[in-house]
Formats: sequence, structure tokens, C-alpha cells
Amino acid sequence: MALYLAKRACGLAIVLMVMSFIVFLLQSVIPSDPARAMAGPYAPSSTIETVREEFGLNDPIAVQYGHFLVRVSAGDLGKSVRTRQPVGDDLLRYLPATLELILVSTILAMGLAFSLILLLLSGARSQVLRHVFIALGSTPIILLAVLLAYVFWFSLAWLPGSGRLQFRDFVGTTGFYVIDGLLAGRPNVSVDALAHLTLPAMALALPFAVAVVRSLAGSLHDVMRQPYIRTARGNGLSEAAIVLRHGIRNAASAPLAMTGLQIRLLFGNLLVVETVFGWPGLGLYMTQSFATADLPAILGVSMVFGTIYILVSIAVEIAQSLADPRIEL
Amino acid sequence: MIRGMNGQTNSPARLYEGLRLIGWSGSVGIVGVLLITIVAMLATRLTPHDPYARIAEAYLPPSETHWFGTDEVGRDLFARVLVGVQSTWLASLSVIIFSLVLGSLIGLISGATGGKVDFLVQRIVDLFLVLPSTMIALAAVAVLGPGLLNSIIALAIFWWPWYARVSRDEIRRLYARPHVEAARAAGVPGPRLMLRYLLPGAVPSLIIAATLDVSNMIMALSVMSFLGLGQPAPSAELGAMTARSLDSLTVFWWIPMLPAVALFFLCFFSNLAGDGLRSVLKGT
Repeated sequence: MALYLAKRACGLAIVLMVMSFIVFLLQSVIPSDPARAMAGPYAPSSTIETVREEFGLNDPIAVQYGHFLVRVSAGDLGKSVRTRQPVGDDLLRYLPATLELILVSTILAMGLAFSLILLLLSGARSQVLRHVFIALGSTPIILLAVLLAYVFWFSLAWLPGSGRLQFRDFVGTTGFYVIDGLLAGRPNVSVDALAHLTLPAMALALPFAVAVVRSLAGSLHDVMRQPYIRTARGNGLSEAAIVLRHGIRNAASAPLAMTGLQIRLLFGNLLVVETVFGWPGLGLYMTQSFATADLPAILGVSMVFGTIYILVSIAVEIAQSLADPRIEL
Repeated sequence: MIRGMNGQTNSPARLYEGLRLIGWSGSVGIVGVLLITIVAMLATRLTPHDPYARIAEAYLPPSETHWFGTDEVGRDLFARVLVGVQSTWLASLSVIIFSLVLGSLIGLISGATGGKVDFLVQRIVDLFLVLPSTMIALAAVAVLGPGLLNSIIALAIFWWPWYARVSRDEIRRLYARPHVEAARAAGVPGPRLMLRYLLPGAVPSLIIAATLDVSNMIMALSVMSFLGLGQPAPSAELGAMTARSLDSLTVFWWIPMLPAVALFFLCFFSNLAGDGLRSVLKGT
């Protein structure tokens, strides 16, 4: 286990290096000029020159990358071109919102996936269900987010669809508003935070749950015909308990492997969802950085997402070996 | 592989037989995919309106002259959606076909050669697969500058390795089969072995994977476009059209919604087609 974690930590470092290097390499061929973007379109060339000097944009690309690595290892990610704040500070400010969203949507996705599996196993109208699943799996995140916002926010007004809280004055200590509300003794803040979380978390969770269930359904179909499932039924276990304890565990390997791959596609979803629902997290921060070609900010967010991605794939591998002890870490 | 399709000689009967095997939903998918391709080829020729010109009042509701109404500038939304379908569909297909061809060939060579070459190629594929590719592609386009071509290139760079993996695994599986062994014993030269004895066996799996992957590519491209990394305004791209008209969602909901619905149909038909192909070729 320790050896495995050490290996994966090295892997994480390599992936982050590669990512930062790719983005840096691309920068050497960019047509757009960050100094120009920073100073504004009408700034005199002397101002642009000063900006270049200030941000070290005049050095050769290899020198810039060297400087960057030295700075990053000291915990300094540079200054954002757009917000003019250190990128590290920006990341810390927006990270809790994104983590809160990811955690809640993961929980939601698990619940959704489990209820969908039970629905599938009930076997009712399986051909209809199969096509409903294909349709759900074909729903682009843009349509899903816009539909959720329109129906549940504008039309029905059941749930809020913009921002994290309606209390403008509230300042949390941890940045996780659901927890902060409880810590501050204001449960109404927590409830409000949860209400604001529901729609964006739903938009993130649904495609993921559907993808997992479609993959799980295939392998579960075979597992549920095994003799040990019949034994469990004979022992009088409830169908839910059979699926949860005996079925999913044996069928989990293939869907887990797929999950690892699928997660890479979900970062795009996160950016879209945060944009549609005005969620002030890293995704929105990155989207806004795109418009200004804010390289330090883009790199910083990519590093954070890269880290999250690797951590998730480590968790997936551990889950795989827990579900099936034949898979060694 | 495709049972019952070999005995027939005239093509309409073969087509009918093929569709019958694929089932009604798969047939709907394949017909839909063909229709979308035709629509994408014709695009602006299907409507009298100029997608880039202000031709009427802004925010007109759908009517007989303007099927989808007009957008926030007063351009015909139907014409713009058609242009968006054209660019999204053709771009997605080209990236998928590129990845399919390149990935299959690399997987074929890697799997058939084996040894050090196989090991090296597979480690490179591993590196690509372990990277958070969408993230890097997004960052790369943001740095290189927005545009459809840049999006296509960035996605294509990260898309082929998965096909290389699928192809290589299939080839390794086929390599152990008796007909390949017999061919090798008979002294069939390497290239011929690859193209005549190995590749045909891997084609069904690769075609299924590619068909089901089209919707992933459409979603990736539309996300990029939505985030402002596609062609700059005033060009008509489905993702960007939704993003730019998001403010009018409360009142003129169809303006941001219709381009997104068009995206849904592109994905839905290609997934139906892929699902139908899978049930025929894999027999599930």
C-alpha cells in the first residue's frame, strides 16, 4: 500500500510536470500577447514593455519555465493577468466552492446510480428503459444545465439557480457554506447553501450516474445470474441488499475502470455548469481566464484539476482492489 | 460477422436485411445519422435566409417564415442552427475518423510487432490516457487562441490514444487465434499478415467504439464552443449560440434552448446507430 501510494505520488508529479510543460510550450507559439491583454488595447508601447518586464514575459521560454518551476515549488503560482492577484490566493478563494459542488454531486450521483440500477433490475419495460438511458446519455451538459435552470429556477421557482447563497453578508470560515452555516449557528444558511447546490450538483451528477449505470448494467446482468445470487435470494435477503452486497461488488470492476476514463470528460461539464449557474468556483474562474488568455491562472487551475483527477483515479484503483481482491495495487 | 448479409445480391434487399438485423431503434439511428450528414452538407442551401445578416426584428418567436424565430440581433435562428450543425457534425466526424485511422494503425503495428516496440508504444498511450486530456485540451486552446481549427487539433491530439489501446488489445487477442498462427507458419509476410489476417478481425470493435464515441466528441466540441474557445462571434456554433443568448433564457427560452436541442439530436442519433451496430456485430 505504501509503495503503491509512493508510486502514484511520483505519477502525480510527472503528470503535473507534463501538463505545465505542454501549456508552457504552447505559449511560445501564441499569437495573442498577454502583456497587450493586460495593458488594454490602447496602452502605449512603453506601458506594455513595463508590463512585460514586470511579469517576466521577455525571457526565453525555457528560462520562463525554469523560473516557473522554481516559483511553484516555493508555492508561488504567479500573478493573474486578469484579477491582478496572486494565482495561489485566487485558487484558495475559489477552491472550496468547487470542492463542495464536486462532493455533493458525487453523493448525489451515487444515490442516483443506485436507484437507477434498482429500476433497471426491476426489469419493467426494459426496452423502453434502454432507450431512455440512451437518450439521457446523449443529453449534452449544455442542454441539461439550461433545462434545469429554466424549469426549476425560472418556471417553477422551486430552487435557486444562481450563486451559492442569498445572504450577501455571510462570511464562512472554511468556505464550505453548508458546514459554515452550522458552525456559525445559522442553520438557515446551511439550508440555503444546500438549495443553491441542488441544481448544479444535479446537472453534474446525472450524466455521470447514467454513464456508470449503463456500464454497470451490462456487467450486473451477468452477475445476477450466478448461483451465489440465487443462494442469497434463497436466504431471504431483500433484492436491494442482494444487489448492494453481492451484485455490485462483483460487477464493479468494469464500470470502475470506465469511471476513471469518464472523469476526464467531466471537467468540461464542471466548467459549463459553473458558468450557467454562476457558481463562483474554479470552473468559472477558469472560464473567465480563457477570455483574457490569462496564462498563470489557466495553468494554476489546470494544476489543481490535474491533482484532483489523479487523486480520483487513485481512489478508483483502490476501490477496484477493494471490490475485487484479485486486482493488486 | 454480419449474419445473413452475404447471401443477398441486389442492394435494396441487402439494405433491408441489414436494417432488420439492426432493429428499429438502430435503424432510426442510422437513418438519422445519414439525414444529419445530408443536412450538414447542404446547410445554408436548405433555407432562404442568410445566417449572418440581420433580416428581421430581434426576438421574433418561431413562425412560418422563421421556423426557430430570430435571435438577439435579428438573425434567422434556423439558418444559424443549420450552420452550427454543419460545423459541429463535420468537425466531430473528422476528429473521430482521424483518431480511428491513426489509433488503429498504431495499435495494429504495436500489437502485431510485440516486444520492445509494443512496450514503448503502450507506455506512450498510458501517458496520454492518464493525463486529464479535456483539461489540457481546454487550456491548450485557451493559450493558442480560440477557434474551431485549434479546438479540433487540440482534441485530436488527445483522442487517438484510446483507439490505439482498443485496437492493440483486439490485435493481441486475434494474434493467438489459429488462423493467424497458420498464416505465420505459412510464411505470410508482416504487412500482409497485419492487413489481411489481423486488421479485419479488429474492425467491428473499432467501428462500434468510434460510432459510440461521436457523441463524446460532439459534447467536447460544444463545451469548448460554449466556453468561448470556438470560432469568435458572429460565427454560428451550437455551443456558443447558447452561451451568448443565455441572458434571454427567462423570456425567450427557445433562443438558447434550440441550439442545445440540436446538439442533443446529433448525439442521440449517433448513439442509437452505435447501439444498433453493437447489437448486430457483437450479438448482445
